[in-house]
Amino acid sequence: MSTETTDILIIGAGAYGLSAAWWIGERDTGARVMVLDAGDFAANGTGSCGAGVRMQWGLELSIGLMTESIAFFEDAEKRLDFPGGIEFKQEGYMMLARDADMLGDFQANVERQNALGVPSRILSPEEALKMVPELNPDLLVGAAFCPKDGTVSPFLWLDALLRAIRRAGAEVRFGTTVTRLEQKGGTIVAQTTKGPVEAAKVLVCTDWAAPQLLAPLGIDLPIEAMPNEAMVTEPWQPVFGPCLVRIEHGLFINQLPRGSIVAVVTRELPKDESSSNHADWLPLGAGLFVETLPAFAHLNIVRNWCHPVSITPDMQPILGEMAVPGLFLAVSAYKGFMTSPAVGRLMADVVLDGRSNHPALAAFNLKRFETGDLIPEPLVI
Amino acid sequence: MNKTGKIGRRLGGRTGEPFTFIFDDSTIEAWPGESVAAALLAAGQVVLRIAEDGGARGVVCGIGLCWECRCVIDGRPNVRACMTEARAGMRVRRQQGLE
Amino acid sequence: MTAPRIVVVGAGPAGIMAAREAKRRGAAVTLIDEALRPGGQIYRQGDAALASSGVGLPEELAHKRTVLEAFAEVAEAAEAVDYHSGATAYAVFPGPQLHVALADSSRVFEADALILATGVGERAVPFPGWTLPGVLYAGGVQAIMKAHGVRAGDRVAVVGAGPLIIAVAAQLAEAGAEIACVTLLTPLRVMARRPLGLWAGRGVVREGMAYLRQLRRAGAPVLEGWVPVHAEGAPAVESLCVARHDGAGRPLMGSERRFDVDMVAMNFGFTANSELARMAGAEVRFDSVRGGWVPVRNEFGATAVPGVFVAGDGAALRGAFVAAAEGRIVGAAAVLTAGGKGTAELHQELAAEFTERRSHQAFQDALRPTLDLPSGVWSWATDDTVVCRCEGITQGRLRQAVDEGHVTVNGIKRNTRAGMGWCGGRTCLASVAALAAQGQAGPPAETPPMRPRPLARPVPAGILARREP
Ligand SMILES: Cc1cc2nc3c(=O)[nH]c(=O)nc-3n(C[C@H](O)[C@H](O)[C@H](O)COP(=O)(O)OP(=O)(O)OC[C@H]3O[C@@H](n4cnc5c(N)ncnc54)[C@H](O)[C@@H]3O)c2cc1C
Ligand SMILES: Cc1cc2nc3c(=O)[nH]c(=O)nc-3n(C[C@H](O)[C@H](O)[C@H](O)COP(=O)(O)OP(=O)(O)OC[C@H]3O[C@@H](n4cnc5c(N)ncnc54)[C@H](O)[C@@H]3O)c2cc1C
Ligand code: FES
Repeated sequence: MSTETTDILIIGAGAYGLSAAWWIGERDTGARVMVLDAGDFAANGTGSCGAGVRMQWGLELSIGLMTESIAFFEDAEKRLDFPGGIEFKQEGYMMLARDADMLGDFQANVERQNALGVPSRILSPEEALKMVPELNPDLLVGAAFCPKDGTVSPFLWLDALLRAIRRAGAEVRFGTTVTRLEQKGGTIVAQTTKGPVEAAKVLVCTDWAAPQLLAPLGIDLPIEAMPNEAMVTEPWQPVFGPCLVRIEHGLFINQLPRGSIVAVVTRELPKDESSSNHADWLPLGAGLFVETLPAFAHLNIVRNWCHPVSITPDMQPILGEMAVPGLFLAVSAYKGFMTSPAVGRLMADVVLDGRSNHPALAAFNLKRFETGDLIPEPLVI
Repeated sequence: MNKTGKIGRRLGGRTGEPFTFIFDDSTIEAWPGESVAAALLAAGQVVLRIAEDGGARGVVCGIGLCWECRCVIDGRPNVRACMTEARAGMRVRRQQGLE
Repeated sequence: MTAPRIVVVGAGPAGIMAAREAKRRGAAVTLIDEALRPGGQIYRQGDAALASSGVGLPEELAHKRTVLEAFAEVAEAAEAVDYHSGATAYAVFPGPQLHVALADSSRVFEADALILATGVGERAVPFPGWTLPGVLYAGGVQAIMKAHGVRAGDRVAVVGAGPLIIAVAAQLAEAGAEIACVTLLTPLRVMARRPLGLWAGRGVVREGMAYLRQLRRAGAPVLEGWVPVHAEGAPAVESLCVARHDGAGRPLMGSERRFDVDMVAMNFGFTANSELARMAGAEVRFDSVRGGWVPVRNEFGATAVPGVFVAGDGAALRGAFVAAAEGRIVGAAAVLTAGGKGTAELHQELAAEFTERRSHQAFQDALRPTLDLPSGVWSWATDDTVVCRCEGITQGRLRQAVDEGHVTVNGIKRNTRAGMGWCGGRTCLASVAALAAQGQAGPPAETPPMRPRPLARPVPAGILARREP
């Protein structure tokens, strides 16, 4: 098969890959961009996610990424020229405290966040109930709340990016799997199921599937996959405002603007790249859902799905250029949807210029796992 | 009461007493064993719902699979009229878009 | 040896016969059906209070009695079959284990063999006006007559493909409706290409002729080679325009006829309820006439997934007689396989059932061409026709997705939300698949759909939350 060429090859058309492609186009350098994806549209982590975006983190770097990303989501309809918008419902994230101790921790988090510019605050049970009247009052001790947080439609986000980058001239192909990366002189050749593609620069955005592409090049990535599961209800109006979190259960609940309610329960499971549902999940997920929002026990659950998320030792992203010249990586560690606007921008800079002054790039490098400079999230989450 | 023969759109016999329920502003007669959808169809009421796009909708599959016959029954939206047995005094309302 | 645990989903002819056969062979049998009463689609029963005389002709009603007697046998036996009505099977997991929603809790049934006898649902082809109130599926109209003793309209057009159209039109006429017109995509005489098959199904053919005579007596025009063009009315259907088609399913302009109606009954074949089998991991093959993506099985109904069997129309549309005969084969094979018997022994033991199934199958092969849909039918919908009813997605939006390069069913689905609603895509995904095929510019639906996710049917959160131990 004859080899195709491009200037920049991006592997993976999830939130990270498409956002990076868009920002590369924004820089208007004339570089030819090709994006390849093994699946079809949104058949990935992004299309399976809980759709939550929040700046309630404890690490300044994460808050920085999210402040930038949320500002972008606010403007996405215009910037991506996507009439109708991406269904950004910006009505906050409410983290429910289980007991007084946890509320005390939340108080400390809020002070820290406020110092970093995050407008979070503590809610009394009454305030929480006013925002979400269906909440189980017995669970309420208090909550942390940030009004800038919310939810964006992953499908519309991907579609907005996809259309914009295609308009800008990028070539995006679905149903094309990259089977191997090879160094060839100063370039990299990607062997794919549809023939080889040669590029000066390759950006790998395949989330938990990255190790298998990089290992043959001698790059050992401390990335594993862990299944994560979710369900969605039939639509129900009116829509309550904030996303709800019960940290101790790994529970995240999010009512989409159309009215469907998504619930994710994240639990510690054996590392596994499978996306098979678990037989014990629905009673767990539905049980926590009903306990949290008893008034919604009658809502029909229409779908239950499972998809792996990427796990790193400190649960922070890995971003930047690899030991192979021209080879770049962006893997999110389970927050790739919400951080994609900012990470796309900084990855575009690194790929085009070889550097970026974004502090996240310096911190979230691969070397930290050798030097032991892990960056744990300081929040009690 | 026992009835045999056709009564309007009703085929064959009925046993038991007819009763009524409310559908929007109308009173609908029903017989034991009929679904809400069947009683409404027998009464010539075919519009069960107004979809989000403003279009009227009614019964389609009759067996609980398509969810087109969703209406508000005793205050609860998204209830399938074809899968709900009619009961005396029930309040059924046309669903307006997503409720 | 303890009795093998056989769990059957579906109390239609296939499931009932399978349950009886397994029971007779000493298995502990559980029978699950979401309907309130046994019988399945064709032998649907109404509430006793309706005392309805039975919709259908003598041969059909006789077979119905046989099937319901078989049910009575196992339901009333000592150590009766564990029958759950109003119970929805929503997921299958390895084991096999079946997850079922009961009245107010959910329960897991562990099985040595799981027999899926879930039947079919109706297939629709969208055309402008098909979402108007008063436009129903023909089988649904029949179901409302059978289960609730009500005819859904007074002046009716019955449109579609295949023999169900004739049956429903005649049953409506019998029920006192005026039949404005009957249209068939393909003339029924195409069946004559398989005289042996017709002979094998002579009982059913005789019934079909009786139905046609009934329609003729009622003065109903039966238009063969005609298709619906559009339905109109506000807020409900008031008229239907039909036209002759060009052989590929496209209406020939100039040939239209308009009928004033208050109901349209439509049926363009069936889609197998194969989602549980596919969820279990069964391989699928595509059969455009027999239900779309259907599970691959051996002659005993066993899929390649250990302990998972499929029987009846849910495996491929072949009607109630095949379903009943096959139910017996699969019910027996499930028990015998659990007891370690080999295929040679099975063949010997089930020879009579195999012969019976083959004979009914021959008639079904003769029916096949009446249900073949030419590709032109998928062009009936115009850009503003709503195709996915649950999410309100139009043909125009779907076409846009295809134009933008989304040419797989799942890609189109995620791009547009079509198929993501309550019905799980039952209503629209055949249309989406047809559009995807046009986009691929290849033969229809070559790529198998993704393995379906739970839930096979929507289930309230409260019921899922209460799982019985
Ligand atoms: C249930 C669940 C809930 C979640 N909730 C949230 C949330 O609320 N907020 C949030 O921010 N994050 C959430 N996440 C995490 C989030 O989904 C991921 O972090 C994010 O989608 C990753 O984006 P990505 O672009 O890196 O990867 P993906 O979106 O997974 O895209 C990777 C792409 O790479 C392609 N690919 C892989 N290998 C190859 C190959 N060899 N050749 C070609 N293509 C290849 C895949 O087909 C895929 O399309 C959730 C995840 C799950 C599963
Ligand atoms: C509406 C309709 C009308 C029909 N009318 C005719 C007709 O007049 N003449 C004719 O020859 N054929 C007709 N057919 C085709 C007919 O259904 C079959 O030929 C015959 O009934 C097949 O028998 P079966 O046992 O395979 O499936 P069915 O009789 O369909 O039985 C399947 C059973 O499984 C149950 N079920 C399915 N999924 C689940 C689940 N997830 N959980 C619990 N229970 C489940 C259903 O409630 C049903 O009772 C009709 C089909 C339909 C859909
Ligand atoms: S008419 Fe289809 S679900 Fe009621």
